[in-house]
Amino acid sequence: MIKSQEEKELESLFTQQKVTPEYFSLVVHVYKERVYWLVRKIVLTHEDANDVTQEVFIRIWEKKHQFNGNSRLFTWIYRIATNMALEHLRKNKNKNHSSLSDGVEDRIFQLQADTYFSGDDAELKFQKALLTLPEKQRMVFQLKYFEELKYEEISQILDTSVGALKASYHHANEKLKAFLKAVD
Amino acid sequence: MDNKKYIPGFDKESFQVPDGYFEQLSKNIEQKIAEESTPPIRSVNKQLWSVISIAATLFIGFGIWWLTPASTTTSSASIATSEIIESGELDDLLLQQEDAILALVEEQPLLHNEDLSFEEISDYLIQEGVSESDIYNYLESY
Repeated sequence: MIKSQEEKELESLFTQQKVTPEYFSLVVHVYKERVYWLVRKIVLTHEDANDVTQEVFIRIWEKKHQFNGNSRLFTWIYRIATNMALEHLRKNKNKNHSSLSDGVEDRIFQLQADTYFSGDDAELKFQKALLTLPEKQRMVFQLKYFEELKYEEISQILDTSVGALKASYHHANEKLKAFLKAVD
Repeated sequence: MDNKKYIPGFDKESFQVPDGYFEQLSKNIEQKIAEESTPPIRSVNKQLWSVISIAATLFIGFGIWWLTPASTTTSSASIATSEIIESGELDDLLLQQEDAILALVEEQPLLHNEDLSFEEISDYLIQEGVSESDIYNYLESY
């Protein structure tokens, strides 16, 4: 992802710890849609994505002094967003744990019930295939395939080596192919 | 391998948001940030009431202390004692106290009566718990 002038200026404000509520509005303006869609791809329903996205920006505001400029601002924000979305899923899984479905069927059911989802059978099948992947592989696949991020960027977000990410992405590809072939 | 040939992908036409959602999202976040940045009115009130309560307690306590006569007397007495010690009047006071004790002793017939026999005194001391050997040792010393 190419660093824009806007992002450079925001990074400078964060590293100099000069992020006032007024400047933070600019952060929200620049990143809200990217964060929302990243979160939505993980939690799937709009209601959950809305809650998590708001929490993500509150967390960014609270932790703003922790950004040290060692990574890019967007990878730091994506890291917070990814972790919070996964945390949200874990909490929900513990709340509505079903040993038979392992949560996949529950989440597909919730997605179908979402007013703001109108995907066809192919989309549902794909989402179901994604949900069968282990958490790490799913995250690597989503960041690489949907967000089209570089491995180096994903490495900073997921705190995993590039080699391990490449292996995870390969395994995720193979599993998805096998799953989709089996259900066809 | 190009995954997009066989995977439908995340289609934003399948995943929608309400109309004007992102504008509202900004407002909601900014509102929450503003709330985070300023302490809630409730806690300010709570702090204010705590300060008022402490101040009122101290004021009432001071008022009671100031108006109670006993505390004033104690204060005067302690000042008078220190003045007496400093001016050397303490010795005079002790002498007066000694005279008062002697006068009291003279009023006690038992202690003052010189007609008591040794047996009577001895019986009295034994009744008071003094051992006979102590009485004997005391007489031996004279």
